Amino acid sequence: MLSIGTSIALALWAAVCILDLKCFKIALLSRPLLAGFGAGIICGNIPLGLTVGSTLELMSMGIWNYGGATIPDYTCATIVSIAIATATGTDFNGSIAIAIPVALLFTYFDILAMTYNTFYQHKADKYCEEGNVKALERMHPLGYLTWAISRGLPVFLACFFGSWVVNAIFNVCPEWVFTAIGKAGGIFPALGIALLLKMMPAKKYWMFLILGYVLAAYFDLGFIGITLCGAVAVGITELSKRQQGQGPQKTKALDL
Amino acid sequence: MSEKAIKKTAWRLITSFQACENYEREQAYDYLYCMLPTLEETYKDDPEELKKRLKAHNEFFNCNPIFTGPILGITSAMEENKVDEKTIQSLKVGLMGPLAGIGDTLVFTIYISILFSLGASFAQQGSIVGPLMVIPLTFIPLFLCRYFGTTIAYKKGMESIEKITAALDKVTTIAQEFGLVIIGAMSVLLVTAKTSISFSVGDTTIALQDKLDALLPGLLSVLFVFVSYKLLTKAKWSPVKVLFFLLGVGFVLGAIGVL
Repeated sequence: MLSIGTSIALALWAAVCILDLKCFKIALLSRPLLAGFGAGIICGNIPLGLTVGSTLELMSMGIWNYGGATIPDYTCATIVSIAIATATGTDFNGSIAIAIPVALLFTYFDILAMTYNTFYQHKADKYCEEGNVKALERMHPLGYLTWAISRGLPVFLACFFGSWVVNAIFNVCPEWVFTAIGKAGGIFPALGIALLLKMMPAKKYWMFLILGYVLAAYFDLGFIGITLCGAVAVGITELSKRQQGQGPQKTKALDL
Repeated sequence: MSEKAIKKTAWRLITSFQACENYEREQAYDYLYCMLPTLEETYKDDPEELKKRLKAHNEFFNCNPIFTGPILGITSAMEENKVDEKTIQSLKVGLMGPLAGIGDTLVFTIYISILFSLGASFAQQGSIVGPLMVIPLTFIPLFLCRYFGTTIAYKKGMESIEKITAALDKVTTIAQEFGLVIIGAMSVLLVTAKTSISFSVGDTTIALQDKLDALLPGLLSVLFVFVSYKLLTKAKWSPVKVLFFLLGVGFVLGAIGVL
């Protein structure tokens, strides 16, 4: 079981991460790579923080709260799974199996926080009506608390009591359940990639998509090799566009 | 003209934007909070007008937080010149969509995804260079975009917005082409979907995965990406719902030994 001090430290770290995602954006600490690194330092197990963090980072690539959408909470999943793995001595596969349900469960805390903030929005309406600038100034920082508590409190509970719960589950569930969850985790990156695709003009520039696929699937090039080939392809395309005298089109929506 | 008020606005964008994000009007109160320094100074002698302006900036707003700076800058300058509030409102609404689109694509979809995947690949080899390298490479551009996006748009006015969006448009096209190459590669590299089904024909066993690889390597991975994409775009499923779907399908296929 984790000590109360470590659990509090992890809860504070989760609060910092979510505030960074929402407000500061110092370094996107909420991304699993960094959230996991921090949790690894707090738990005194940096290698575990790096491996779990980077695995969940790749699993969640492309998943971002575009337009304030609620997304699976990989930040808290990373922190909680590293904490529980440290406390129970679970191996790497076990911590990924813990992370997946946590990521899905914690989405509800985001919904709670977004709903709760509506209360401030309505109070702001009232202050606008009164022309009360001072009250508007004073109330806004309370929003930090919404986010900090929405993740800090559940992370504390999960870290402090989680190892007990997880031990109980591990004792009851047969091995194949975790193997199957692990297999499911393997296909999770499909969501992030699909979200990225949704943002891109894939129909217009389909050939770049195929190029990336071929370089990875047939040529087995590493990340840097693919990046360099991609740069060449984009460079040639842009050069030929310029020679034809048709640069990228301007968006019409901006002609105000 | 007050330099102090716009600097305050930029700092508020950097430190507190989205603190009061909510389901009803998204970043409305956050936008208002950023505008308070200018509004208070401009309308301090006209309480009735101040109320009207406060209410106008407390309306629905939803944009990419990194690229909201130019909108804040330009509306601050307009408020100082006491431009009609309907004009300001329609400008806000007009800029919010395009800047959100460009900002989300450039910053989060392309830059952050590629940077953090690279960091993660270092970290997987156990190197702390992975997390350490992404910190400055995230902090510096995101900070500069928000600070100077606000102050430059304030000083240069509408003309700067046109220049900024035209330049960004060009960069966005290049980034999209490049991003698609990476996405195509990632579908094969990141999605682990291999079947362990095999058939016995006489004395030899044939692994289905080998046959699939001969047909199209990474076919199953691409298939899962395609299904998720269709669920998001055609069926309009939320990301969380798609993830539950992937968990269900992956769990069942994993349990019965197909994956």
